[in-house]
Amino acid sequence: MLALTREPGQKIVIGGGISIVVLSVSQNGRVRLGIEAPADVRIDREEVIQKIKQENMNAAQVVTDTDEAAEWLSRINRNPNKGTS
Amino acid sequence: MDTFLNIANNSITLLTDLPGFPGARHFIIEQFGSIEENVFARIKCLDKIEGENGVPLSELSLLVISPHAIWPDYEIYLEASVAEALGLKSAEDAATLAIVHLKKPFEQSTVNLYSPIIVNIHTGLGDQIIPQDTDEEIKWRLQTPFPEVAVV
Repeated sequence: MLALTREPGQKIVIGGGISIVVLSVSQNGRVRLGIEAPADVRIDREEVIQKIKQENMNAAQVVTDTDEAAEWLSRINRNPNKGTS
Repeated sequence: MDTFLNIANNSITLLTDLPGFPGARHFIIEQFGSIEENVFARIKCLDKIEGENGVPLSELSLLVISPHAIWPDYEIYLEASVAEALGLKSAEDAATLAIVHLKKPFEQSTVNLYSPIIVNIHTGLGDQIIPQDTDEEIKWRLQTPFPEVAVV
């Protein structure tokens, strides 16, 4: 891994099209970054991707009693916001 | 089964691999269980993919639901770049599929309203949304419980 030392206001340029600037560093160690990149480059927080991955993997566990589950799902109240007057 | 959310050919092609399943991009929409429904369905992956530890998965399928049927005020913000990549001109072009995490007992099941799969109903092109906002700003949670089942 390449490690660079930057100060607030200084930038890093990646591949010519992406630049990252250190906006601020707070007392409690939080670093605020500004990122400029082409619109088709996805910028995501790593922990967000991780938790979506994990949830997908958990949800994909094989369901054996499909009919029973479908029957339960079909009984779910479809309009919980209605009919409460 | 008719069509789930009117997606063309009942087939979905994701722009990027489904997070957690490298190589999983092509899905077909099938009826889930013997009850005919237009609110929930199974999406089955057509690609040969590897699970954790490189073990090949024989079948990857997920239960999905249309969140609007259960949460009428549900809405999800789509980045302009994502809408463009999916070829979406208006909200009517899009279907929203929320992944259900089925648990036993079923009452403990949850729905991922945080990062739904958005699909262009005309082309079947889709993507699982990865929210850009901080979690504090997002109302819809990764593990949203179902409303109570109606007493029959």
